[in-house]
Amino acid sequence: MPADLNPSEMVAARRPATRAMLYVVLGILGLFFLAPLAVMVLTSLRPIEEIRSAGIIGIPQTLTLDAWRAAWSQACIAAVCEGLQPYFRNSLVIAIPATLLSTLLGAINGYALTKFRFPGADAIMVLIILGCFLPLQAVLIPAAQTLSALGLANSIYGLILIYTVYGLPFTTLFFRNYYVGVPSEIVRAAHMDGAGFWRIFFQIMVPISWPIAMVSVVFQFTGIWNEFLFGVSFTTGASQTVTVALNNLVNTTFGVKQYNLDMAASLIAALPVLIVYLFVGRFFVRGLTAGSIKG
Amino acid sequence: MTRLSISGLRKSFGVVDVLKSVDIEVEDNGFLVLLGPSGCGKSTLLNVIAGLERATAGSIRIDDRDITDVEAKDRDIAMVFQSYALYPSMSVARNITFSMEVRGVPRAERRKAAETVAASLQIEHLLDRRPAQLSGGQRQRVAIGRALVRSPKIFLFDEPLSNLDTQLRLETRALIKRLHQRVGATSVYVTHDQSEAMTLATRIAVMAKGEVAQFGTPAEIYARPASVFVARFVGSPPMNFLAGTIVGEGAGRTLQLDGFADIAPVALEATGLPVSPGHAVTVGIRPDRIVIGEGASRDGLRLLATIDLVEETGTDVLVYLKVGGLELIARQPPEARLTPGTSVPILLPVKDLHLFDRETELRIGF
Ligand SMILES: Nc1ncnc2c1ncn2[C@@H]1O[C@H](COP(=O)(O)OP(=O)(O)OP(=O)(O)O)[C@@H](O)[C@H]1O
Ligand SMILES: [Mg+2]
Repeated sequence: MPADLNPSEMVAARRPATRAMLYVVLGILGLFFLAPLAVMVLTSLRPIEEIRSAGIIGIPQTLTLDAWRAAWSQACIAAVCEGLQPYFRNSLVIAIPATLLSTLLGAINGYALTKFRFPGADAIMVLIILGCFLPLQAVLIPAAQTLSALGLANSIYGLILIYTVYGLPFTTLFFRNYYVGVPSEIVRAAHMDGAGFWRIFFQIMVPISWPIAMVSVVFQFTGIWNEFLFGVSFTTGASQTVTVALNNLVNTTFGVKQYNLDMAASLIAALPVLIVYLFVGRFFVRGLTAGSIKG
Repeated sequence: MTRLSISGLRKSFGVVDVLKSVDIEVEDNGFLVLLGPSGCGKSTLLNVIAGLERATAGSIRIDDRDITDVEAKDRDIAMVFQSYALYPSMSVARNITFSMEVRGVPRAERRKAAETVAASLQIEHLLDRRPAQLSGGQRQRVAIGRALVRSPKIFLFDEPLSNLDTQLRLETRALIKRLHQRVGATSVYVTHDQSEAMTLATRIAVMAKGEVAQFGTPAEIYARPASVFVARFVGSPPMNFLAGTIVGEGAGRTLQLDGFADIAPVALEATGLPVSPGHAVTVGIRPDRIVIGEGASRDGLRLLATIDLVEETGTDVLVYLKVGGLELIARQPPEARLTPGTSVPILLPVKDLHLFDRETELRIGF
């Protein structure tokens, strides 16, 4: 290498090789992580006879959507043969309100804890952070008792409540950490302008909160959609969530194991989370790294 | 008519006494500057006046109305913050008129108010921008506009210029001064920049550790600093200090510089200063009052100094002098021709000396 190259030119000269290496490594990692998904997709598209004769991993000889159709609307779960569809709807009806509620309440908490400091705010924050470390199993029985005392046992509303409450420590922490970076002088200025607690929240804080709101929505939706323990404990029959129904579907076997059906059902159950990541994943990363508002 | 009176004001955060008994009066149309080093409680005092912090004791009155326990929004006070504190998601126009929006003023009227205020600040062309699309100086103008639009009884400014570069700072300082002359509203302005204080203020309160060290007009504070602290803080470069002792009695009293036994003491005449023989004092003299050369026949302390360093500032020359073990700074007119390393006689004229008690650091004789 010529001695008179300055450092940036040296980097430029090395760049193509470095790039290639980078892409090779990334490609290998990508394959590694995508392989299970590929196997699932391929298997879900093969007829069961072909799987039985050619083995569970293989390139489809004939493509069919039968397994998807069955998983969605025909497969039998326990004695009901309506596919995943009704339970999928249950999960949506639970996950969407619980996600939005816990995000909104988390935002209000974070705002109150950072911008309206009151005696004991720090102690409350410590308790909330502790809440993040509480294992689900530990609250299962008290949660069950609370739900039945409220008359919400085995109902969709009960699960919405549980998921909202259980998500609050996380969403509160997200918003608290975000709002800590918002200069308090903005809130003081709004105070001087005559605005109160709620007006400042909705007109000043909420409009600058979308990066962290994205994080909260993705995190909550994913967590709630994929949640199994509360779902299996607090719902039965027609009010089951999709994860519970998927488990029951896979365990409901008549004779031969229907791998294509299982794979299609799993993919259907995973789809909403995949879609959420596809559309707001970018904002998720941006929100996680967004520190403060430069105003 | 707006008078602001603060009396016996205290503010503690837990066990920390941040303000200890503050008494201040601002006359109608007055411009009070709170001047003091970092951490002395200037912002805290401003926040208490604004109603953003509760006073621990004492009272604040606007004219004859006691507002000590009135909510911030009902005090009719507007504030301009150091960090501008604009609402990030709102346009400039909406930032300026947010207070009107809160009060439910119709949109058309708000727009008109925003335009009027923006015109007076020369930011009409920015009304539809977001704060993030503005420069620092423009943001500060918007922040000032937000206060102006309310036509409040009192304006508060918390170091509004400290985030601006020198040029903008001068421009904005002039803008604030012009606005104050036009609007004439009573203002309280926080800064730790003494040139801002001297140019803007009708009254200055020099603060130290939560107390008002001196309260007076800029001229009074410059000419008769009440303590070594004030003398050191106001004036740039700062006042020079030397140690001295009072010798003799009555009309025969003289001031002798410590460590300069061979220098002729200076007669203090019958100035009526409450000093007694043996009194240890701190002698102060402003840099521009030191005479380099023989100084004709004027009365004063005559010393022999070595020129250590000469700094040209353009408008004048700063001369660093070594006298015995002491260092003095003198400000001289630009035509003064001085060579470092040479010895020169200097004169500290007696009428320009400030005497402070060495123990209490308070000014002797007022
Ligand atoms: N909320 C608070 N709790 C405890 N101490 C505080 C609080 N706010 C301010 N202080 C203390 O009060 C003192 C004065 O603070 P203040 O902000 O009024 O200083 P300042 O004169 O405005 O300084 P600066 O020039 O740096 O802005 C500081 O020592 C600060 O640590
Ligand atoms: Mg301050």
